[in-house]
Amino acid sequence: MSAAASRPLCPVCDGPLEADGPCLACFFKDAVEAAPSAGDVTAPGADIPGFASLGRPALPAVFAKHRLLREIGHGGMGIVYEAEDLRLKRTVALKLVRSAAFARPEELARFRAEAETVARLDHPNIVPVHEIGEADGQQFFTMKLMDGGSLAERLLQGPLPPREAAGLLSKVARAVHHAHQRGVLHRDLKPGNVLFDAHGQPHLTDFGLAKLVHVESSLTLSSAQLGTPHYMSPEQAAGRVREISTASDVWALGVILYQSLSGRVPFAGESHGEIFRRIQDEEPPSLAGKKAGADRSARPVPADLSTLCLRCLEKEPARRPASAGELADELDRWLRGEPIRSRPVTSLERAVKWGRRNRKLSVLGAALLSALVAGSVVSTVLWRRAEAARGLAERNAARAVSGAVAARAAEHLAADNAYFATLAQALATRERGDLGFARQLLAGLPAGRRGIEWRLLQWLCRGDEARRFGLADVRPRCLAWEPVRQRVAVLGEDRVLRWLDPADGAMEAGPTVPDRFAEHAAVALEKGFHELAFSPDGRHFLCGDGDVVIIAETASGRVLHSAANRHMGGVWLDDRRVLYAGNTVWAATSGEPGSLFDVLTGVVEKLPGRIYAPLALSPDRTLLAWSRDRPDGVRVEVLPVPDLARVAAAPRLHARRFSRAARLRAGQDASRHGAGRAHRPAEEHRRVRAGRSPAPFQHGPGRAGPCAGVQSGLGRARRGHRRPDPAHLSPPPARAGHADL
Amino acid sequence: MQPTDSEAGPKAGGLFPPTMWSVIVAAGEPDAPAALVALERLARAYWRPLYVFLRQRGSDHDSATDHVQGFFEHLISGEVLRRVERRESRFRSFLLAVFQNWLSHRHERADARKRGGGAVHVPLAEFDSVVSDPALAIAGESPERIFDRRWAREVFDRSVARLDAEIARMDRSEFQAELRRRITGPQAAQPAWAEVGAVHGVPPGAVKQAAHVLRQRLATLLRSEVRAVVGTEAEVDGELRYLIELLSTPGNRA
Repeated sequence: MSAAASRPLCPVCDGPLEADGPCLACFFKDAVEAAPSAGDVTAPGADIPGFASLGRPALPAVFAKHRLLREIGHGGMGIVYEAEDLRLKRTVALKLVRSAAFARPEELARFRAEAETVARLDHPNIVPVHEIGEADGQQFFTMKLMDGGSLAERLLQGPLPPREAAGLLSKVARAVHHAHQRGVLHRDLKPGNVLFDAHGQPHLTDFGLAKLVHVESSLTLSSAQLGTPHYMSPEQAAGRVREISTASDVWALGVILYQSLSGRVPFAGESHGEIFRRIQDEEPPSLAGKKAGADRSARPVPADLSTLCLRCLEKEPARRPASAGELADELDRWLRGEPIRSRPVTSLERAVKWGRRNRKLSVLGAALLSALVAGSVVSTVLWRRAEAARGLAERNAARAVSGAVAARAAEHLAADNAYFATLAQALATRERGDLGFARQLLAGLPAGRRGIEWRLLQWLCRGDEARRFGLADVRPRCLAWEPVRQRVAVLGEDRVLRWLDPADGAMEAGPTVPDRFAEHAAVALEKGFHELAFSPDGRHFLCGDGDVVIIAETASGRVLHSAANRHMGGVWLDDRRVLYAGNTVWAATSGEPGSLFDVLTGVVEKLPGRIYAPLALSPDRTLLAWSRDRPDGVRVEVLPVPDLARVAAAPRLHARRFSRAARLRAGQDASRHGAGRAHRPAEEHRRVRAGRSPAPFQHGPGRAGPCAGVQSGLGRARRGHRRPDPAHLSPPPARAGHADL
Repeated sequence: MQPTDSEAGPKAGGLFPPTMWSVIVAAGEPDAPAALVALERLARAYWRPLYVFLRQRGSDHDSATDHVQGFFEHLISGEVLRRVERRESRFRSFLLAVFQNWLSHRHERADARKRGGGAVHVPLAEFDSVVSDPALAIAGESPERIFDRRWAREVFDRSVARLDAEIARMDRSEFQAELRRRITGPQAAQPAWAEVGAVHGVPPGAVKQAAHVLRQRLATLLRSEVRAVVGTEAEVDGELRYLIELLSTPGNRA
């Protein structure tokens, strides 16, 4: 019995749990990140003389020409020591980097490359890296020693006064901006990484290294080792590693500012999961006017600083301040008593943002909202554009002599704002890598309004190697290539068939596939679409909807036929005939065999032989593979397609009538008469006259039986006809007009 | 400019002091008493994986017990220490290799007890306690891999035992012991901290914090336990990675 089936799995890592409960793998993962053992009395072998001190370096120890004096701290990255540089006689901080961070040599090489880049950062508010090296197989680097503690320690005593917080964050933001300009992201900004020197000046440390430890190493991805998640941006919290950008650092600066002002983080929670969810889904509580902490004597948080916080904490990276430098500028403006340029987040904007995250709920409110947007001059737009917009609105208001003028101005402004909002959305979409959707957004902008920025963005959205197309709200259930125009058919959860043009990502809605579930409710279970296949001429399609198979016209969506069985599958034998069947396991119990449906005649022919899904047709449509229920078990069988006729018809109609000799005769007969069209079976004529449908496979020479035609059809296929000639397979002359497919 | 380097305290293994295993390996002298004692005690601590290994190869309880005991005799003979090769970097693989070697040459030796050795290194009662070990029920894996799994469990159990010893010396040790049981118990994923807090009169937040500290401490002990049986500090992570990989794949259990 397999363990997976019988033993509970760990909810954290999905590994098997021990019989008595614990997940050993999780505990060992913790141990990868754990601090080296303190040399205490319970050390292994403590009862053995001479082994008691094992476990951690005895200090002071000498390492790589440094004397380690004391441990300052340890964390995911490694251990930090206060150390004396024995050559230069100065005190430094020496950080031993955990070897766990480098599973592969190329990771080590990348660490060294990045560490060297960081070492070249030269900014008064960045902790300078002195040396990067390796000794005894141990990577380490040394930095200037900061002995004023960290911001994390400072914040333990409560929030900072607003001016102090702004001044501090301005310096930190400038340092971050300096690094960004040199291509270095911090990725792990938090109060613990803001250190103070002896003069109380803040310095940033651990630039860019977080990525090496937390993202690149597969072992360190468990939430226990991610460290504190409070400062992660939504894109980091969602694990969208490729979207991490300078804007992610701006977010973290916003969190630090928020915490410095209020003493608490904007998104708190009981667990990592809860914090991640809040970061992605919730708006931070506004700070404006609130007293920091519980201290009633504290001054309220100034509205402008609250605005700046919330602007940094925008879920969409494109809506945050464009750079850390811009945040620093804003903070400096506030410190100088000048008005800031960021606009407060209006309640309308909050509503829009809520709506964006709760799209379904907000559909009803959309009409109301758009009316509001049109009526209100200040609408939801790109925030940087907003200032200009506001200026324009004010000028207009000043100039307005009549309500009509003001209304026109408002209208103009609203259109303008919508344009920029769409541009911003396209830019954000492009940053997500969804170039197709970005292009769609751009294509939707009025041609007359498009400026240089539109052209630039359009250009930036070109040349997508792995063309990716956003589907907006469509949740695709089935994809298929439509054969004639070579478009991608997308069958959505909403039952609408859409056409995606692979050249430009343009999406065109096609027919809606009617729901036939109710008709077949006795047999079918509702499970949603699982199959979509087009006839070779693209005129018809078959789709599996739960346990119902639907055959419909591509252009109109008109259902020609539907049938139900368990796990239906089907293949198009040619332009008109589709073979469908239920899955072996289920259909065998229901006794429903495979069936052939002819889209021209509407005739369903049940195959007496037991043919069951899954079915597969060879690319040249000459060989069919299917599973078949035999007394000795289920098999996969392969048969030339024309021989299906025998499977279909022989047992019932001609089971006893065809000897091998007769088949041979029929074959000779057929080859002598080409397609054998002239040999329309008298019997079939009689059947038609009697008002019965022609059997789809009874197209060969009549009395000689279908096999003659079959053999001849197969022979033709071998001579290079990719499909049996439709005329050859055609029904009686009365219907021949339909045969020119 | 190197003179200062001579001031380094411990030499072998660089910055970190040598691991217990590296001291044994470096002992060199075949009859270095401290190293011999250390080797034997270390091996004794890890007898359960050896027992499980034998049982998985088809031995019955009595002969597995005999062989494990006999192997400890062999260990302190000093012969093994001479055979320890420096390239053996992990005690785990060393122990199993020596054990297998000893088993295959066992017929050349007199049975330990006949020879009059006879000292019982592991109380027989303990052997009886291991007959219901879940590792014995694992099917479809090689005895070597099951040995490694049982090894991982041993490392874990020893760390937990060390943690329990520490807890016994702590304030409010009952509360801490309760936390420890919940951390390593079946409900580890959804621990009812509020419930523990209510029983012991501790606010839920503080319970959570204490549990976190305990878990961190257990991780440290695990690391130190693994460290004792590998050659160098750098190998700790390699060994941990190996064990994590081993434990993350579901073993087939009958």
